[in-house]
Amino acid sequence: MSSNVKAQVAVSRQYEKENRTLAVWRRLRSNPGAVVGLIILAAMVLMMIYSFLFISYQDIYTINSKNRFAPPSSQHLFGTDESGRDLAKRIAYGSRYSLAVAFGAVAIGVIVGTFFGAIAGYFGGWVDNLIMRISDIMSSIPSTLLGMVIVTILGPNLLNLLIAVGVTNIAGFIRMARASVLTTKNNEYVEAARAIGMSEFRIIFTQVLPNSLSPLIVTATARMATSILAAAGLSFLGFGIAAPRPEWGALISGSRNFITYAPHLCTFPGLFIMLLAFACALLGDGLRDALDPKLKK
Amino acid sequence: MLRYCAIRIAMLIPILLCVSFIIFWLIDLAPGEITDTMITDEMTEEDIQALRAKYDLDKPLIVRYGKYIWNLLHGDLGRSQISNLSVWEQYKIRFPYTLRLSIYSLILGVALAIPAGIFAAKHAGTIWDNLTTAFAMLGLSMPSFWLGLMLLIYFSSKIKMFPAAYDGTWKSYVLPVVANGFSMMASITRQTRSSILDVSRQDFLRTARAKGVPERRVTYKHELGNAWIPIITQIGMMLGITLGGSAVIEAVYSWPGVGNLLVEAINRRDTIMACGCVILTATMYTIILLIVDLVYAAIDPRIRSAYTRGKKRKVEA
Amino acid sequence: MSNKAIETAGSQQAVITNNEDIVLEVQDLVVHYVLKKSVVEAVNGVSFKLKKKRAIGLVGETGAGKTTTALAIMNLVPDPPGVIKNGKITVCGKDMLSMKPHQLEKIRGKDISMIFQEPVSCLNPFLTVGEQISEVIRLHRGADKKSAAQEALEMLKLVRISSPEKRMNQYPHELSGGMCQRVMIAMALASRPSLLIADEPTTALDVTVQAQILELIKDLKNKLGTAILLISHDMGVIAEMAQRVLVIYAGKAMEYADVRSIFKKPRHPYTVDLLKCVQRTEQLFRRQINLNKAVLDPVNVPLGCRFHFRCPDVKDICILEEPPIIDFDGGKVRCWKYAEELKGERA
Repeated sequence: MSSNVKAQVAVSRQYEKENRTLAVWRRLRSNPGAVVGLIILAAMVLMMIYSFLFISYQDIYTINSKNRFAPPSSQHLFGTDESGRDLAKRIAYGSRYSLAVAFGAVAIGVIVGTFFGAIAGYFGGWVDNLIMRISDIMSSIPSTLLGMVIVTILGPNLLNLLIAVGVTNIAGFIRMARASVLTTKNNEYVEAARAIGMSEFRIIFTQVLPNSLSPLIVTATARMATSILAAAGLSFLGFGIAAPRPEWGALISGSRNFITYAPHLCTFPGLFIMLLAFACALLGDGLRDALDPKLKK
Repeated sequence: MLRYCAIRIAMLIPILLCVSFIIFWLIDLAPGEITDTMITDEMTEEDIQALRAKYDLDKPLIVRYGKYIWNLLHGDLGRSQISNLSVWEQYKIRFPYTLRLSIYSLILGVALAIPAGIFAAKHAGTIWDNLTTAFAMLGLSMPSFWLGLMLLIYFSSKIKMFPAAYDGTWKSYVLPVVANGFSMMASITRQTRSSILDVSRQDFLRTARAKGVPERRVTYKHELGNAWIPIITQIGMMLGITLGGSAVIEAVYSWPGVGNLLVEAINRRDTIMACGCVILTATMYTIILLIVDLVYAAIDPRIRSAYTRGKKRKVEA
Repeated sequence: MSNKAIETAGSQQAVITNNEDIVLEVQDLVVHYVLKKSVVEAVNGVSFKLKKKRAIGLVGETGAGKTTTALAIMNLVPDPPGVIKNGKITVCGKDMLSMKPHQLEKIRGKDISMIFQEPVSCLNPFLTVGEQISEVIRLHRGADKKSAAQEALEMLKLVRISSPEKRMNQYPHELSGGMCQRVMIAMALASRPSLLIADEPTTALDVTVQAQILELIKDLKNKLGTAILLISHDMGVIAEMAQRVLVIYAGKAMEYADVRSIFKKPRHPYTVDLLKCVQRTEQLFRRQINLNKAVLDPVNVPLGCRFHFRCPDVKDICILEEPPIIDFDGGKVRCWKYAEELKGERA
């Protein structure tokens, strides 16, 4: 009897999920903003792959003092920098840092934040209290400050930058996951699962969480945009990835001394940061509308 | 209501204590010590240890933290370990600059954002709405330091209209305020638009129209009257965020604010100074957020009544 | 319960003679919702009359066009996407559809009022009950704050709300559904309108509260002389209140008769179906009509009678041609069954 119910529950949820995913994808496709965002994001990823395959260390680090500060031309798409290096290639190479942060920092926030948020929401009581207090403390420190401090401790490299920005994302996800869990945990299928005898942990991760997917996706994409900007800002200040690595924020920082006669060194990296963040934001908005159509019109 | 406020404020203290400990500990963890730059070749091991002892570096963390908190509770934030200037004095001098920058940017942002948001909401679904929303999203995606630099390039280098750094005149405020205010404007526009749209979908507007309330009054008293509450809270939050994250804009414009102070302190491993700055900034941030929360609770009758009338009671028909 | 209501309601049946008595007249109302890719024909040729001190019930399932009809009467159909394509609506002799907005604003809340289905969400959550009722009074009678508040309190007493003085300063979320509905009624009747439109006023309430609210509306109708247009999908509610009944299906009127005739001798197959549900679901907690068959798609409208998909008595002609309106003693019906009978009789 119980296995039959289990099977039925599993089948019906599978069917529901498939249909729903298709419907969401269709809605997403018809949203022009989301499509643009997706295209830009795809282009960035392609650029990164291209840079892995075709842009070597030499291309971006060799100093060529004869060709310094060249403005954009057919030879150098975005011009050259103070050491004669081709800016376009450097930007393409630097895409890996921003994309890594976009996905990595959010992943940290999602994994850690959702885990603790779900536990807090599900178990309530002192566990909930403790986790929420910790989350409150974490949100009491402005993210830029926290990021600066973490990078200072751990050292300026990509991984630590990821962790620094990731940590600032955690509190938001804790709150979101907890709210989601609180609203769904009293639903009937959870009761049913408990009646069948599923362990509490399994219930959380197989029954409750999948239904909190929509707010999670929306928060995640929004956080991608903010993480990209945060990482660029930290690198700009010198906390994070530094020269000679061509991280976009660092590129802008490096261009400060030369802005009067080589403005292109500042313009293009910033444009790319903006484009990537914009793409994530568009995608995020599109996903939000696609996942919950009754909000629109 | 007062009870709720009192509880929230009281909770502030343990939070701030934890924050200060975490920051002290984190900065302490950072590799390198203040004395690193002071060690010369002539010093012997004993000299070095004596130097370190002078800065209490030989004592365990708890002791150092304890000393710090003790002083703190007596209102003494310590002195910069490098310049020996009082942390509090430094902060006090620099804070008004940061504050002014933040507030002016916020005012600019709000002044532009609210009409834009109302406009977008009223023309929801049309091309004007799409343009405004796209523009707002662009503003959100723009790194403020990049905008700051771009403004510098065009308005300070190419066309010498505004100065590139703080020089005491009102003109030097223009560029940083615009750069900082732009992204705030973007997010407040979005919030305004969505808040108004949310309210306009509500049923009670239909009831108001069915009552014969003239359309203008429906818009201003009923629709906007309910929509402005989340907008105000958003604005409050933005104030907190901009105060906390001012370091970036201050770096671009060499602004004599607390952000810059902090960055220097961290770079020089001036633990006391860095700690002081972060703690003060974090405290301010937390207090602002708390005020925003309390204001929201006070304004929104749904929350307010739950606290003023004791328990939330629902009476049967 | 239903039987008793039918008996008493039927006995109040009056003959329509005097035009001055007619509060509301709807003629051939057609309302479409124009969407991006399709047009929804929400209301397609509905006509009826309503006299003073009478109540008419509009019955039909969800999506049948009842609420749209009601909104059209107040000219409150949301303009994109709704369009009133045709029809004439007269309230106390005034043509509603040709009026300008500021004229309409004077009439709404004063000569016609409307109450809605979900009372709690229909009230402004940021204003107190007292403020919302006073608003109507001040708008239409120019009273000042103090006297408006006085009157509002009187209205609350009239709708028999508990502790009326306390309610004046409370917010909608602090009140239960039943109380909110009473507040809505108070707001609606504050200016003694000639017509009250009640759109599913009790659907969102508990059954016990339902009965009280209906009783209240009936009482006030008699006391204040207001005509009532009651919309519901629940035949039981209609039986309680109405003297005439208009059965709507897919935006078209299917049967229009006295409540007695509807219940004792329902003519249209759809009416029969609706009544079966009432008998089937006498349990206290299931008043919603729950027909298993699909609801007609209002976008792709078939050629013949709209009801032919679900009709147990369907004939060929039902699929090919839309039935005409056939008068019978005491009402009208739109069904081929009765046309044939007549033809048969004549032949």
